[in-house]
Amino acid sequence: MSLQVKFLPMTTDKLVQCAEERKADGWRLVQILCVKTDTGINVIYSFMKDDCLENYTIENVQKDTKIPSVSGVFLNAFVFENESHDLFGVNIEGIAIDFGGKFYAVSQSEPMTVISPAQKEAREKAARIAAAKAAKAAKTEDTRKEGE
Amino acid sequence: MGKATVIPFGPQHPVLPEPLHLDLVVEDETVIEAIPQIGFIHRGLEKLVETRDFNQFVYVAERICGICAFGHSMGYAETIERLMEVEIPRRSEYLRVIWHEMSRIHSHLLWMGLAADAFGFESLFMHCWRLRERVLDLFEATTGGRVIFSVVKVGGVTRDMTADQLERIKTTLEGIKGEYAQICKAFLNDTSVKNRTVGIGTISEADARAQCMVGPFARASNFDNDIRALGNGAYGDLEDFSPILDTQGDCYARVKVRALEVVQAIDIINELIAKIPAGDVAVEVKGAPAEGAQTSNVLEQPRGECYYYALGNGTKNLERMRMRTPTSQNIAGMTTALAGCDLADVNMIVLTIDPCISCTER
Amino acid sequence: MDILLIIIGTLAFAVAAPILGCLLSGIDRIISARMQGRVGPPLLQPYYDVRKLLEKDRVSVNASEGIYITCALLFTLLAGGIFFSGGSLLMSVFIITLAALFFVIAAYSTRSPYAEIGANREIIQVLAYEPMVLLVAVGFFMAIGSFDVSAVLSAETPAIVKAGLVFAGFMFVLTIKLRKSPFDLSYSHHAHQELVKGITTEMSGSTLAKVEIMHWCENVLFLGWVGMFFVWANPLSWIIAIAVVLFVWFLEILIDNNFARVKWQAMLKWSWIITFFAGGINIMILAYL
Repeated sequence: MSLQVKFLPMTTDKLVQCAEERKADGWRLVQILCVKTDTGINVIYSFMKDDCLENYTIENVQKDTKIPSVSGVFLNAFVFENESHDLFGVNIEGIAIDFGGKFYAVSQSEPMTVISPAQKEAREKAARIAAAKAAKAAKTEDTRKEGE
Repeated sequence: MGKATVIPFGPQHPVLPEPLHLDLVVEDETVIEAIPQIGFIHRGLEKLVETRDFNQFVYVAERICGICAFGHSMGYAETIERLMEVEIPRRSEYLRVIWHEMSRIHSHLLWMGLAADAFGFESLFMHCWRLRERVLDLFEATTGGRVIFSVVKVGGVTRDMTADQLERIKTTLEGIKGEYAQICKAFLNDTSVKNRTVGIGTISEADARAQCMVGPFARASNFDNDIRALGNGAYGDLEDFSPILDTQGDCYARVKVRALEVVQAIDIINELIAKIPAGDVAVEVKGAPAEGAQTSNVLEQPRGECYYYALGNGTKNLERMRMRTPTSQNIAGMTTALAGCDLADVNMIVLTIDPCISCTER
Repeated sequence: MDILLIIIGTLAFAVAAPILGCLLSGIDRIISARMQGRVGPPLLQPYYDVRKLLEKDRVSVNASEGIYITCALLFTLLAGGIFFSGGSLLMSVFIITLAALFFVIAAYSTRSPYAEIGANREIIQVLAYEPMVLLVAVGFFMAIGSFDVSAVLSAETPAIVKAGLVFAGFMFVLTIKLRKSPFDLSYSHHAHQELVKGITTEMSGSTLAKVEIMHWCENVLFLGWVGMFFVWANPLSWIIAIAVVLFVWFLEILIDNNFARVKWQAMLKWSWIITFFAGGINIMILAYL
């Protein structure tokens, strides 16, 4: 048997219920991670049993979205939930051991959401190239259509 | 009832191997509760992935921690290979596992030395580390480095091992076995050692499952989650692999599980050296991870299961790289084991989860 | 007691004991290192360490800590002086205990959590060995006939013959008094223990140097007590006594290297059990037979 990986969508209201189902079924919580995207933050919860690894993604979490904590179901989640709060600014309610932002004693709040100037420049450049490419493709498409 | 004193334990403490802070509320040498705090060694390594391209990031990944260095580089490379759907040569998979199992031996020997030091048995500590030196010499002979090897790349490994080097690995490990058996006898049969480890910090199997513990910490409580059994990479070619379990769940059991894992690792290495196929050791990896491609991967490092997640964005830099290390999972277990123990047992319990705080915080 | 003799004895002890103690400590470190597969430091390393400590600036938490340690050192020298000038063994025992208590008070005066717990453990150590040490004095009296140490020079048989069990009990608590594993709970020469440096956590510079010198003198005194059991009227007995002392020192190093540290409950239990049986039985035999 080898590792099977799945990515599935999830919403905040179904989160705790899913965690409880997984626990009753013998799955374990592997980790919780956050990804910063342009539209918000994606929070990914991973569960594993035997050779099956399932990742549930809650997409586009905003600053004011409240996510319920799963540390009532899986105690070990408190480490990751505190980390998500300290490094990404995700608002999670009801963490079993809540350090109130002091778990990671870092000098800058939400450091993982910071976009450095060099990065911003690289992204804008990539966006410009993509726009130019799209414009060129549209132009060739127009020329082809005219040719028909 | 005695007066409660709060003892600040760490981050700088001679007996702690890593910077961790515990506020121990103590009454007459019994710990009432222990509140952990980390964050002293957060270097923001996951953020570096946005400015280093995915080939260069291997070097950052292996510098997350000195002890688990090879494990992280191997896990990272495997994740990117899975992301870009690259198939690496069989020989390089074998080499990676041989180095990884040697890493496991050196990590467990290091840990056993620290455990001996924690309960006051300095000469046992010295002997464990003396044996570990021989394994580090093997690393130096095959990779050029003793602690950080820089020998893994996305697509395979950067160097090959000659037949002589493989033979030398075999003979050195054979030579260690005799002295190692004596050290194990001291750990497992000596009365003064048993006095300090038996019945200390017991975690039942139900608690281990409820708190999703990983690694030898969990296996000592009879929770069998050894990722090597899944058979990724060269682990799939092993004749039979069964994780080492123990039912006691106390510090003694954790020492025993790690001690036996060293012997198991030596057997795995011998088996793989006998079977290693000839061939290339790397493939050329062209291009970059596709936009929006994401994958996750798990690897059994010496401390337990390590989870990797990668998200590509079409450029040579990854959008997001996440490494979840075994110690983060075990912190909850450690906090429950610490409640109600003697002050003299605190460092023993903290050590038996094999903390690697540099990995936890990245 | 002849005051002049005691003063001369104390001064002689103050000069000779640190030198002897330093050499013994150096031999201890080299032999320990060889047992662990290492080379070890030079023989005079303890002297170099103390010299460096004396050169450091004063950064103590408060002034009283230094005063208490100086008192502890002075009383140790006095106890050694009384013993080696042939004075009363019982007096020597009490004065060395007084020195140990000053050491404990010095640790309490710093009000640091680690030093406090180290001081607690030191008190428990005193509780563990003190009964046996008192029984040593009593056994010595019953074997030789006087509390004065100088009485051994005119004794017909060495004290070991009649007070053998008492000696065996003393061997057990000697490990506690010499601060060797398994009983190095409050203060260990190796900093890798949960109390950082235990009772001496807050001591540094010249205060710590005095603690080191005090330990050297204590070691010489306790080995003197060991040797005292083997001296009698015959001048050749001195050679036997010195040989036994060196053997016992080597044995303590061996035990130090082969045992893990125990917790205080085990230490207290076992010392009292051995005190009761070894000391108690021997005293009863000497009293009623």
